[in-house]
Amino acid sequence: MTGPSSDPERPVAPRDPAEAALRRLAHQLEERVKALDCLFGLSDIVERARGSIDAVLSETVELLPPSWEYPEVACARVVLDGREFRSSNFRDGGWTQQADIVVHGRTAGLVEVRYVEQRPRRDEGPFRAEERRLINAIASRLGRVAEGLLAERLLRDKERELRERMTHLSRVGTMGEMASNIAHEVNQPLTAISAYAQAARRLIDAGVGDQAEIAAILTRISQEALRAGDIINRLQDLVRRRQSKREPCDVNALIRDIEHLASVDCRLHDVRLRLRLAPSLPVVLADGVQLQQVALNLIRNAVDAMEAAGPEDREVVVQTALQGAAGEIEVSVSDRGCGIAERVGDQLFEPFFTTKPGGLGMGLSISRSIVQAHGGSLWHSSHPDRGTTFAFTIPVRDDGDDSDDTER
Amino acid sequence: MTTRNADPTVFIVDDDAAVRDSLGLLLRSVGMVSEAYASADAFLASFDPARPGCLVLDVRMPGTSGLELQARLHERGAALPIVFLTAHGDIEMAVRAVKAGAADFVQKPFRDQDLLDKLQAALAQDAELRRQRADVEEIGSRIASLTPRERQLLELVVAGRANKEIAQDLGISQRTVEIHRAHVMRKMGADSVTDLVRLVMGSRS
Repeated sequence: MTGPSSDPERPVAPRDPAEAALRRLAHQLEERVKALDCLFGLSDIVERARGSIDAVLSETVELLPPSWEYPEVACARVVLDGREFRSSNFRDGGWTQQADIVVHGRTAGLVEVRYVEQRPRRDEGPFRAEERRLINAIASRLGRVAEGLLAERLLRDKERELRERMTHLSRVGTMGEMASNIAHEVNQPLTAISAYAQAARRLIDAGVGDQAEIAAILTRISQEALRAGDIINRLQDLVRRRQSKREPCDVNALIRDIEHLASVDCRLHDVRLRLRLAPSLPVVLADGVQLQQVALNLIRNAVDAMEAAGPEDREVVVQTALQGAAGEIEVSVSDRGCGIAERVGDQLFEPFFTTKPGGLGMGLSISRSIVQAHGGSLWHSSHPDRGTTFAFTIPVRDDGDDSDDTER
Repeated sequence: MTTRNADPTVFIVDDDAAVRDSLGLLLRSVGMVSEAYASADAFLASFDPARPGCLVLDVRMPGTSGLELQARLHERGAALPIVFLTAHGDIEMAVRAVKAGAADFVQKPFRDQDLLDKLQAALAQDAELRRQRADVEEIGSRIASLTPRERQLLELVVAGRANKEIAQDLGISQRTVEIHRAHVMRKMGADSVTDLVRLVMGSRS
């Protein structure tokens, strides 16, 4: 790293001092431009690398030698977390200028520029003070890039985990809001079962019930038990926490499946639930339970929005339709409630945004992320005092049908 | 005294078909007459205050709720005793219902004997109320059958005046007072002055 004492390549000093000053200035300017080019180049590389640290390092290492004063004898290498990237012309020996790459306060690697032949002595061996600043800047930049990518990866993992947890939570939350209504709904068949059984018992004890009558009562008891079980099964399907999956789904069937659950809620709020399902829809690849959760969430919101609505307006319409030449299926939920103020806008979809007292503010945010994970979109249109429509789309993909066919 | 001879009816109002059906069957199994309605409005549409019985009412119903039906009946002056059917979480509603005059409440699902006992009590309460009301009406019609002079006399007797005082007040002979008095006692169906006072005071309370 010690610099040479002679300077064979230094230009012969011109006799005119003014011209000499000018040439020195021009040279300095040229070096400055090279340094700037190098930094711009690095920004470019980071941009193009799309999150791959290997791509950033292998390109950066080629960017360095031309930016130093003597490119013809310069090579470079970058080491990060035990992995080394060398410029194509790399050779050992000679004079080096190095800077540490620090990631989260820890020295994780280094950037090195090497002159393989002797060059005149400058500020730091054969290297200039400007080059020190440049190599420091590059090392620092690489440190930030590494931190960013690391954080991004952690964030992605964390986000996926969080999204799965929140999906579960919001599902449970929506269920919680419906829970007391559902408890009431399960209690009805239980009440009927208990009363039927006690009546049958009394008829038998009094010797007045003939076999046919008792048999009819038993049939009704088992029907009511199935009804109670059905309500509980649907609830469990929705509350159970599981990994997202993709399977062929009939969107109409999904909606019909939650009609009962939703209508319990609607009935107790004096709201009519109307389904307008398209006559036939292509199969989509989706997580059916998640889509049901989105629809239920939108229906719940619609019911809440009509709290102050008059009796003739208390209606929620759930509609399905095929949009664009078999492009996507649209599901919409419309109410005739209070509408949504324009200034609220897309804040609606942000986590923890809520207009409901006691609301968690997660429903729409989760719904949108579910729909987006299916490649669709969720949006709303609202007219103050005339109500709101929320709609989401799920793309129809041909490979969905194909894979389904090949399985058979 | 007349009593209406119609059989008391248990009116069931619940939006759940299976609950109505099973409840009706249970009541039939013990020989009680019931009629079922799917909503408060359906019940109100056919409601006849003259029919004796009691009401089994679901607290939570879409449309007109159980509590609202109770209030409407109250407005109409109907005293039909109500046994509310409540769910586990509805205690607050049940308390409100009882404060508003409900006879009782049972939690769904219920023990048959528990419900039947409460219904019997409610029917007895209804019968007692109707009997009292019939008595009051009967005495009213007996009083209406008196002549104006006899009614004057009745007021004075009930006010505790002696025959002599009454004769002076009305400017008639004591003998005439005695004749009127005998008519009043006969028309009112009273055995003694105390009996007469009790009848008249009872009809006025």
